[in-house]
Amino acid sequence: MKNNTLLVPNRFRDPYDFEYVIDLQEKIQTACEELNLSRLTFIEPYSMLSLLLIGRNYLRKCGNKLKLTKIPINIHQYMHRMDFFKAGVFDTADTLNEKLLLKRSFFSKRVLEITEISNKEREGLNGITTIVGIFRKRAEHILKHWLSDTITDYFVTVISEICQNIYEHSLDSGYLAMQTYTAGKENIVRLSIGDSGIGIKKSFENVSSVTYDSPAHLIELALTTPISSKREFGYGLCQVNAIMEKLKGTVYIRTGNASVSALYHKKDTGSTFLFLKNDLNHFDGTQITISLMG
Amino acid sequence: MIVNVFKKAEELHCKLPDLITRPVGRIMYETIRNSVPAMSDGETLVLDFAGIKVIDSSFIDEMLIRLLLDSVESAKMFYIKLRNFSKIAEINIDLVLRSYSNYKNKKIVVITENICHNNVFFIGPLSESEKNIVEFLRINKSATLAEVVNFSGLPIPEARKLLNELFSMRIAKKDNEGMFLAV
Repeated sequence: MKNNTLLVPNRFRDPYDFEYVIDLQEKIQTACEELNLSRLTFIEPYSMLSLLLIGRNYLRKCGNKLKLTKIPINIHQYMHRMDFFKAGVFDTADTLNEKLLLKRSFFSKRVLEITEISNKEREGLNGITTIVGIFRKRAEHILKHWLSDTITDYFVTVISEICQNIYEHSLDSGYLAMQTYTAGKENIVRLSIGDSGIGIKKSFENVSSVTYDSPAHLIELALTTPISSKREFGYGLCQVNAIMEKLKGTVYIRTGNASVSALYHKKDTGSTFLFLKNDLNHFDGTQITISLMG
Repeated sequence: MIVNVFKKAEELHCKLPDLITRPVGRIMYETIRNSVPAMSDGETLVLDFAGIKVIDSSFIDEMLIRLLLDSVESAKMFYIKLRNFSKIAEINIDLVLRSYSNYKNKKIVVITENICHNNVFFIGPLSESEKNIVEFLRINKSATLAEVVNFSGLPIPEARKLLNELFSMRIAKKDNEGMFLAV
């Protein structure tokens, strides 16, 4: 009988920080029914989406919803504003006074709320079209520190390419969120897309023409060469990688127990600036986040 | 024949100004392909992208690559030229054509009416010699093998080989008298 509450560490600042929470997933699934979020001081889009996936995985595995409790008001406001609870995968004992709800006015223009991308082609396509439409309307606010017509078009390409991978490859629906925020003196725009599907490795299971040394190496191949598990070529992730290199941004992809970080904002010449990591704790599906700093 | 892609997309109820995803590329390909039989042999199909902002690699793969392959492989000989495409469309087309050419070991290139970012009138991977010949044909509209040899300084067999390869890629035309023409 599970009756434990887990005091969740304040590790929601970026994908690397969130690994501490992923490390707790097994414990959450086997020995928890409540996550106490009282320690949280900040949550960014990738961590928020991944928390949502943890909740969904829990619901699927245990058959009941995980409870979120003691959510600090500012975090609760933000999660509510980003439609975190609309997905319906968590129970929360805390209710937010209506007066405290964030208004969907100026702030609305700097975010793309969490949106579900279906794993079915037609619905997925409609979802992408809707997201792109909203993004185009808000782009001048979301990308106000990087504004040019071209950068908006670059991001439309990136959104389209990554979201299509969900219904093309993951066999599960996924989520997207985007936000511009400030960390220290840095402005960051972060787009995050994640699913709990089969992951990149399993997707390539029956593709004998693609050989790799490790799961992270396979992610690297998907980022840098036009490999596809479904057809002769797949350009999507290559395109995303090329665009982020051009914009001097970052790409982080995590699937199963491996990840690759491409840190083009730190790249001068020569080295690829790709950092491969294997032997992480397993987390279902594929999670991608791309960021620009400025 | 000129195809106004924006207008076609409106007729197909695509959400504009972006043409993204494979299903959209597929229906656009089918629609344009249906126009090909009405073209005369050796005609150029001009795809006008005015008003279109983003075309992503999935759309390009399903629509443009298939049309380019049709132009090379189908019984009806036709050529393709692009115009009024956005900067991001050019970048995305270039990446797809280069990847396809690299990994398929078969060059695939498309002629453009607009000047591209590296001051050429085509998108895709061409060698310096091929690039110079395409540019020579564009400026002079047509040229004989002798003129190309004279301009490029290449030995006759090499120049002939290059011209025939450009013709095979449908980025140079060839008439019955053996004259090479710009697309």
